[in-house]
Amino acid sequence: MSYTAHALLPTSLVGSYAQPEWLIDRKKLAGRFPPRTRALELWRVPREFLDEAQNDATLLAIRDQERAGLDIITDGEMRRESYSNRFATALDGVDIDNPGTALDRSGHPNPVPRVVGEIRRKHPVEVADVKFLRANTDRRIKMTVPGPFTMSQQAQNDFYEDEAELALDYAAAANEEIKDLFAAGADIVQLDEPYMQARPEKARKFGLAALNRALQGVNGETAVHICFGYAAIIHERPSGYSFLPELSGCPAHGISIETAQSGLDCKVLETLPEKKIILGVLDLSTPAVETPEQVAARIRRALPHCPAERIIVAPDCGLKYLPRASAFGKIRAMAEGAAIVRRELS
Amino acid sequence: MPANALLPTSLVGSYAQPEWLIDRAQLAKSSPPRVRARELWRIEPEFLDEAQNDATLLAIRDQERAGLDIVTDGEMRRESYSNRFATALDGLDLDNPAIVLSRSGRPSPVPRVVGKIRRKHPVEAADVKFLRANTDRRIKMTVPGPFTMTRQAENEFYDDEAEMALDYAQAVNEEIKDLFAAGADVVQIDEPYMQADPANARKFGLRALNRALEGVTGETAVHICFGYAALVKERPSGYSFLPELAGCTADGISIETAQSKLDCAVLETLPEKKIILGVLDLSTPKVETPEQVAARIRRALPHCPAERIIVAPDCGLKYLPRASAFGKIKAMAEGAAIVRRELA
Repeated sequence: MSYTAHALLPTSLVGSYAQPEWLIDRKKLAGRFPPRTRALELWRVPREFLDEAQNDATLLAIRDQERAGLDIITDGEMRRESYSNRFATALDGVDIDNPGTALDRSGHPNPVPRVVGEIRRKHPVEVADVKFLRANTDRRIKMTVPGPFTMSQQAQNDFYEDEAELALDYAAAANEEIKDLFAAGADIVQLDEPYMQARPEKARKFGLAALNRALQGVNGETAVHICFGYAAIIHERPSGYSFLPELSGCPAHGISIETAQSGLDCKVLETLPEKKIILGVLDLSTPAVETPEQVAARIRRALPHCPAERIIVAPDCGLKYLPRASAFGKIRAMAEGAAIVRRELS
Repeated sequence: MPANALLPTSLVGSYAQPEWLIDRAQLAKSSPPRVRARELWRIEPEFLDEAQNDATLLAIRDQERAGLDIVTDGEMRRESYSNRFATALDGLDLDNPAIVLSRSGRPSPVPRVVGKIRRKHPVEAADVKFLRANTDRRIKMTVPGPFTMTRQAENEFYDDEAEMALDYAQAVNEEIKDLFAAGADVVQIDEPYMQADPANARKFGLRALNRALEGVTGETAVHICFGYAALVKERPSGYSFLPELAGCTADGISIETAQSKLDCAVLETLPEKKIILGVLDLSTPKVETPEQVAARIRRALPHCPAERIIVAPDCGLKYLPRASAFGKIKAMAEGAAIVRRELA
């Protein structure tokens, strides 16, 4: 099938895509908070064949994105139990075997890595994933990395006197990773910082500085994703962001925000006049597949506040928890919805 | 990719299955199963359909990336080329199998025929629809041949083996028509036992084959071979049953030439048939160079015009390591391209 990249209103996942049931216990995955430590027991495939299975699942995720017509492709985070734990648990300075506890954004205690020493990246974590993705699609590719502020909130600090210092060390680790991901062929790297929305005061106090540190000296196209949490897990959705205009000052090129689930007043996009907006237009609180016209309507809501030239069309958040058929239906509707608006604008 | 009209490329049928899906070591250790062998699958029954569908998508993707013109489902859902269809029929006792010797001389449990062989329902039609929905290229589906199925069963019902073969043929005939109705471009009947047991093949196998093809309007083929190179080590240098197939109604004959270094002069005995020319040696995981493939294609040209040749492996790729299987089909597509350029 011939494919031409769309310069206007390109489409992209936020990061994750629905994983196959044969690969991971999706019910168990959905029945708990996203793991912060490792959760190897979730995988259905024995360890010795897991790499092959995860690679294959990645190929299937790529295929679905290509068939749906997306312009920017991720690896679907098929190898991850959550968006953050694969990277966060690979670092030096954390005790994974004797986890601590931290409150999740919903206020529930969740086992988390215990920080027992200086946080340092031991080795590249996702570089092989980028290379695999690069080798298996001709389209632009994006890789996600958990943000330093979010990682600092998903850990029990038993070492640093100052949380801000902890966040800066996480930032240094993310920074090294981001540079390696671009060197390995990533076109876009996105930092996932959902906790900036969940804990705006701390985010203001030291999160933004950590984010800037993570992006220091980075040359490729970058983005930051913030959100109200997985709709499948966090059911109460505020109607506006408590931390968004603050991001206008960060060096990331794009900001990924949800507008579908929250019915966000898109006027807030005016506070980010220099940023690309990765516009969430898929409601992930329901498996019901949007019509292309619904998607188009959600894109149109943003246009008075952000020119189409700065918009990337995306889901509200990761599709990890959606049934596969529904995830595919939604991204196809998304691509078709973007095409409708593109035609109106041409 | 525009389809190649000259020297199109295709699998014979099967492709290498993922290790996470099926116990490949166990699969390779035993003879191809004739009864069901569900214990080979590594995936729980409730997720097996999803896993087999996904494996099929991966097989399609590999074939497309390699540049093949005719795509199969890689037989990802099968434990062997024949047992999924053969065990779905009426008239069999599968729970109390008989033991017969396989062509490699190993004892193998087979279905006992205890009643009239009848097809209860379409077996592979859903597989064809899945394949049709997931590739734009021409598609081929394989079904086990009636004669081969009689060799992989213990007859305790029919007075006459020929009669049993005709009932198998009737079941295959119904299936083939359904496969074309479901969207297949080519249907291939796998009849390796015609080579293994040529006397009986002459006696009643050919008639059963023609019965299986009766009234079929789509493009058909018959595959015969010397057995999986991974399992059957001794290879004769010529077919004991090949010119006979000139008289069957199939459009194409799939034969191995790489492993057996077949004297391609025998192709002259099949002047009306498309030749599905086996040019990949599956006795070794070593990947051929495109030039090696091209040389094997050239060997056939003095005896069969290129217009009648479809380039293929010698047999199914089921037992090859995945990386090797992909390397080989890519070399095959590139080798065919070399010869195509020479002929242009």
